[in-house]
Amino acid sequence: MSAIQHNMKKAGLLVCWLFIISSCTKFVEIDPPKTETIVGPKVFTNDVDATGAVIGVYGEMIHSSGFAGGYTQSITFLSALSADELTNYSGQSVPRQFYENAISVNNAAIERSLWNEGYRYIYAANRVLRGLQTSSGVSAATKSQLIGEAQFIRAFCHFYLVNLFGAVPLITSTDYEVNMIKPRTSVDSVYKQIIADLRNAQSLLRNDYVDGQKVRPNKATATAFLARVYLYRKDWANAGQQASLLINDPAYRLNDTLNEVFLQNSAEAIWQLVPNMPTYNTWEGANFILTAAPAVSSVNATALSPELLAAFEPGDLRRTNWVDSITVDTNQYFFPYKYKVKRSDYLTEYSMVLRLAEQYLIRAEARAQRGNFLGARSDLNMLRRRAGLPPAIANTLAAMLRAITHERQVELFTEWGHRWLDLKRTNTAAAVLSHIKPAWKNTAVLYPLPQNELAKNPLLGAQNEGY
Amino acid sequence: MQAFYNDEQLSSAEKIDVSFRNERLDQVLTTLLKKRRLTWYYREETFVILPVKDPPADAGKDEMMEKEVTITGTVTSQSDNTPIPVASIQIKGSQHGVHTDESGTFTLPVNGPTTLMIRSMGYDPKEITVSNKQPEHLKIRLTPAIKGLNEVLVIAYGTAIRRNLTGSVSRITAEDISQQPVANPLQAMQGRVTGLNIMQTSGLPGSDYKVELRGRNSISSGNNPFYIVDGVPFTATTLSWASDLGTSLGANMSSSPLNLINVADIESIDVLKDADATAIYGSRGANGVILITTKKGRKGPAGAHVSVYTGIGQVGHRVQYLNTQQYLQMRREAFANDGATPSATDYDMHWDSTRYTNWQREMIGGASRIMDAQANVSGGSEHAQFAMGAGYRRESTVYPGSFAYQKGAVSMRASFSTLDENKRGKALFSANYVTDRNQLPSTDLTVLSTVSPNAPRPYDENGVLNWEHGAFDNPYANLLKRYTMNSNNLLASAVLSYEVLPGLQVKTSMGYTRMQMNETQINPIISLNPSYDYASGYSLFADGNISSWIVEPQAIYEKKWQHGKHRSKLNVLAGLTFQQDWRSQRSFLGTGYTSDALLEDMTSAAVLTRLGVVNTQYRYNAAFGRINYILDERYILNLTGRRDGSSRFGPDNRFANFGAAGAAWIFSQEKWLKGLSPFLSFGKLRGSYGITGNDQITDYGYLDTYVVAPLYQDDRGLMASRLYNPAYSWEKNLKLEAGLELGFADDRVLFNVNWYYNRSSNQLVDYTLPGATGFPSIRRNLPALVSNTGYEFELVTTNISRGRFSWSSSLNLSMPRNKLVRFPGLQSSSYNAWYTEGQPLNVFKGAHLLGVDPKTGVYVFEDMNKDSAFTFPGDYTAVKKTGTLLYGGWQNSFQFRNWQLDVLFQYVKQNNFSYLYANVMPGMNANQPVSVLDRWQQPGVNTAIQQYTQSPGSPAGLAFAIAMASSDQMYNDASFIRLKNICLTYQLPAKWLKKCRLKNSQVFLQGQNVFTITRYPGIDPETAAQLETYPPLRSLILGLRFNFF
Repeated sequence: MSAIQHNMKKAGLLVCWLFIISSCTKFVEIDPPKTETIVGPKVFTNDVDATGAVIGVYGEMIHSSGFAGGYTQSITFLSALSADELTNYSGQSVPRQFYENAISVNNAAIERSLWNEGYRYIYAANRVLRGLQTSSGVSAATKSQLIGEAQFIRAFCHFYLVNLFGAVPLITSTDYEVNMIKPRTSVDSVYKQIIADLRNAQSLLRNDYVDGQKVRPNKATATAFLARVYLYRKDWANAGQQASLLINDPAYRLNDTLNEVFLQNSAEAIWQLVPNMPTYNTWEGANFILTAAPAVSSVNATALSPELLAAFEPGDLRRTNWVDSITVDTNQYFFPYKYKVKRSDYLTEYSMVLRLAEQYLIRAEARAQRGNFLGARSDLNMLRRRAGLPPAIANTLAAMLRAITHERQVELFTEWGHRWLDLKRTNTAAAVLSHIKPAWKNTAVLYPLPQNELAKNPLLGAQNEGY
Repeated sequence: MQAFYNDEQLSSAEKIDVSFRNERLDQVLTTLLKKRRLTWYYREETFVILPVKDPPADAGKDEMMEKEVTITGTVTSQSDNTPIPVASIQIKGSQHGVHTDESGTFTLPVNGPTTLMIRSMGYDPKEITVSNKQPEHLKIRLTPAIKGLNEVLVIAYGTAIRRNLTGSVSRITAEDISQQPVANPLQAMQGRVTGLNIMQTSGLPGSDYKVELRGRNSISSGNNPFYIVDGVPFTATTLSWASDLGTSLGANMSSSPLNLINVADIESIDVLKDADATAIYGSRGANGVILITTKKGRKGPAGAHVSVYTGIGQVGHRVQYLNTQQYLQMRREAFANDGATPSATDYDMHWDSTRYTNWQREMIGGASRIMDAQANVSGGSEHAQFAMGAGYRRESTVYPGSFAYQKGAVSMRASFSTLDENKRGKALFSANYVTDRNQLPSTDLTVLSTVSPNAPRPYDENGVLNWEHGAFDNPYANLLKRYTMNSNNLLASAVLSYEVLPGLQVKTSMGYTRMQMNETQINPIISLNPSYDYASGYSLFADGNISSWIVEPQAIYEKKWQHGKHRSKLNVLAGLTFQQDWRSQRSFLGTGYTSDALLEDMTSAAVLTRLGVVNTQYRYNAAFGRINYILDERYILNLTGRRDGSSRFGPDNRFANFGAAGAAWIFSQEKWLKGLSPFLSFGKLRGSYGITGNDQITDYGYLDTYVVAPLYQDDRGLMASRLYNPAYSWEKNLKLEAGLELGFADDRVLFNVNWYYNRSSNQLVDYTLPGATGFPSIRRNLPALVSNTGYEFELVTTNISRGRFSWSSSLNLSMPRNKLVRFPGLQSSSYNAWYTEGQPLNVFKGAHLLGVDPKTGVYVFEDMNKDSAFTFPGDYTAVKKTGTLLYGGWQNSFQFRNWQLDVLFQYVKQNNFSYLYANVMPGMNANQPVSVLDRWQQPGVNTAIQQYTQSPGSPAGLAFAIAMASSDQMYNDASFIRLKNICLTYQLPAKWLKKCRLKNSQVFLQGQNVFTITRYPGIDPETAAQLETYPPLRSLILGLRFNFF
């Protein structure tokens, strides 16, 4: 047996020796991938890369078919379906459920394109804020601009989430351990943060545009959005005040010609996103403009609703300039024609996010609510004049608000969910939609939270009512 | 060592004094016994002592016969020409015999013409006749045994004889493979190996497989076994591109990397299962190891082997869909139920109602043609051998149009040894190159079974695709959206070894692989519905490559010795591994083509947009060792260990230790059981326990990095790559195994049962996160524990072996059980939606569909928490097992004269997706199987299917959404018994062959997936998915095999 022991010992020693030499850790050290750049030594240490971390968000936003992209799963499209702006011809369940105001808790667009995508941009914004907090090497001017943009992005995304879903988690940290168990934050608290972010952004952002084009938020962008937020909060004084800042800003004016409004860097544009899909201009143009009867698949599957077409006053130039139609087999289909380019290799149109016309409407509403009907009418008339319509004549609050709602409907149609959110915020959704949507329930004003999200974060509590 | 004798002939009371020193045992015995007219022979580790038989009465007639001559000879192995020590040489008909020495030589006195029986463990026995002339030095080569207990198995860094194994190893051989007309080694293993569950994801040629060895160990890391081809790790993950949305470029979804191994080159596939067999692979062994060994060169004059076959394949079972009348009735009823009327764009309601097309028959009703040709030559001298092979295969589809998979392969192997007698130095070189090309549509046309049966004509009078003014998504357009995949793989390896001291061998194995794949999907403008307004066609391009090298220096020490009554055999192995992998993948969208003719050219695109890019590096370093000790061929101990380092972990967590201990006891060798022989001819009890790991995670998860974002203006921004976690570490897999192996009636019945209990802890997961965190997941360790336990049975019997008829069977059965044992914090985690403690990982959790409410005609779901309302999440707690519950195979082999018939049945008990709950509900503008006719129509009637609806927002529409996405009805019983393979071989008579200078040649007829017995209502239970998928085809082939020598 000693021979075995002897041999075992020898073998054991050999094995041990091998173990020791292989413990040298050098071999298993690898370089980072060539396609990635490491945060620590790089991103938040110089102006170029730090700026890259911010414009990456815009690039993603406009590339996507969801959230801000303007395509078939975007806020613009889906909330237009939910409201009374479009007639749906698609047989697919995602758009049909929005159209019928009977959204399944498993609806893929709810989860992927509205909820997850919104929070992805919020994460990116928080990441920039955290990175810049401790960074050195980024110049002070750039730093303040980038912090302002990140805060604007965070506020912008929270605004849509809180309006589409109601109380949602407010995310201001990049720590997933905190965020994964974050319960819903009350609507008031979310707004409080939105206003704080926008106020801060307003003070940090540059007056002019970086690079001259209106494609990255500047001070006016934060102001314009703040005006809207105050309007939604019924803070009429602040809403009017913020809107005035823009209306009085000589850098912005209403385009005289309706067909020029949606061109790149138009006079009334405040913030636009630059399309980046080859052979296309905007996703809105690609999806809304019909060249055949509406399809049964998901793209080019809608036409303007009879309700919206009926809302235009006779002679409204927006009806003739921003609406077009196609006739197939004696059926005439009308479609939004704000964006004129369905496909092109050359960019002439950018996707509009904020424009001056809305500021007039905000101020008109704020002024009306505060009893200044004259001022309100004058703001409305700025838009009516451009549309070739006679001045507004409303002289009671109720009539004034009706006029403003009407003007918003025909001015801002199929843009960024304005109509849907207006119906909701003015508590008129039920009255308007119940007779045109057979499945209408009053709880449909809020979309359901994604079922998967409720499953993944039990602290989110109950689903929105009615789902 | 033991002796077996009769007390009457050799009394233990009789004592003699002799003195031997350094004498060979056979000489000692011969000397001792000769005087007593006794002789001995050696068989299976036992010396049997017998009286010398009296010579026959007529023995004296022939002078020559009486003349005693001494013959000498050498016994070597057929496979590598190494000498075989301790082989027994026995004179047939007598009990007289000797053994070879260390160099394989023997000396034996014989009387005239004699037949010798040569036996050695691990080799098939051999008989040779020695003439009565002056005997020369005999050279005897034994063929390694390929079946039964003496079969030599390939194990980690070496070989072992099945009899002496302490671990759990299964094998299939070239013979098993050659019975099946398959293109992928995984396909050849289906139903043949216990513990290995292989399911095809699609029947399309070149498709991928889902492979699970002994269940699912990991919640979310890879569960792929570790593949090694001739010592070189082979990638288990496909290079096929899948975009973020999980859509791939071709109809087969993804290609199996193992397509790039030529099955005709394979000598054997060995499957290592338990800790004892796999722990030496450390972090990569958790999911089992599959060793593929290719054919080596043979010594002797060069010979050629040619094999050719051709055949056809068809879909064995199609599902009946509604005819036009039934379809339109469904649609009308759906509109009526919803209180709606068809609009102008409900086109199918306005189409010609007299048309009828069976779209399933149109799309998958054709026949696939299969052609396969293989040739190889091999030969060589004592010190150098070679083998070369080439092969070609073509397999088309059952789709209309010309689509096919093609594969070409060449291989070369050469082995050399030094010229000294013991061949102390050896070198083996091998190179395999396989290239394949798969041309398929971009989507699986099987799903087009649901096109409205009254759809308009597909082509107009000019033969141009008819779009019906944009209203008809013409299914035939998909024939123009073509997918082409080209891939190739080079695998080269070398093994150099030298015996520096007797018993001590140093060895280095080196390998290099490079796999490349290019994929192109073209979408010509003529294939695009004009209503979508494409300005020009577009293409998708993807390419990828993986290259990897590995170097493994090893030292092996082997020693046999005798001490007292005991014999010992020791084998010690120590080695190091250095490995590096690079993987890169890119994909592009090409748009703005001026002509459809240019679509396959990336550079002709006006605009090329990058869709994605992967670029990773992986480095791996390890030291490993094994000690194998065998005492008296009865007690076996096997210890293995490995220390691993992997670049997939953060700097503080790179290294980990793994190891295992295995032991076996061959109790049939015990004296007190000898009495049972030959009834109990073999008995072994074995067990092992050890720890292995799993590092099948993506690279760089610990790095905090940014990647390039889509273009904005003229700049590319950056976006965060992932949520990062620098602290995750290895997933640990503890494996316990016990096995009992029995042989009865002289090993004519072999029975084998394994029990295993594997526990995976420190689960390394991409932890699913709520969307509010901004990312879908984070890599981290979970304190969850997953267990896999199960029994595996194998029964191999030689039922009849009489004269020219023989019948043997082999039955195998695996019963895996998977369980999520523990998951602290499950309730408050994102995994709560999918998993339940105490249930398997493969389990569906959701709503329980009770049936159709006879009053409303809408599906109702069980109120699980009895709160009188059906809500989420409280009522989504019903649980149903999914996946495979039991599987196995039953093989029978019959031989009669020149005929051989092999029949393999495969059986699987499982729950799988029900295609009835696909994303289109009955009533919408998509055709349905006839089973939807049993729908609700009037109150009070019980039906299986709810009322038709065409509105996703109607009560029935919303109920369907739950039924198809969240209810247990998504899964149904998809168990099946399948005649997987039948093979009839006719051995051409030798006298015919002789004229053509041929040897050992056959004609064969093979059938694959001949029939399937199942209750599953869809096309095929194996490829069941949420949408109907191209099934494994029923194929029939005829072939020839020739050997020229």
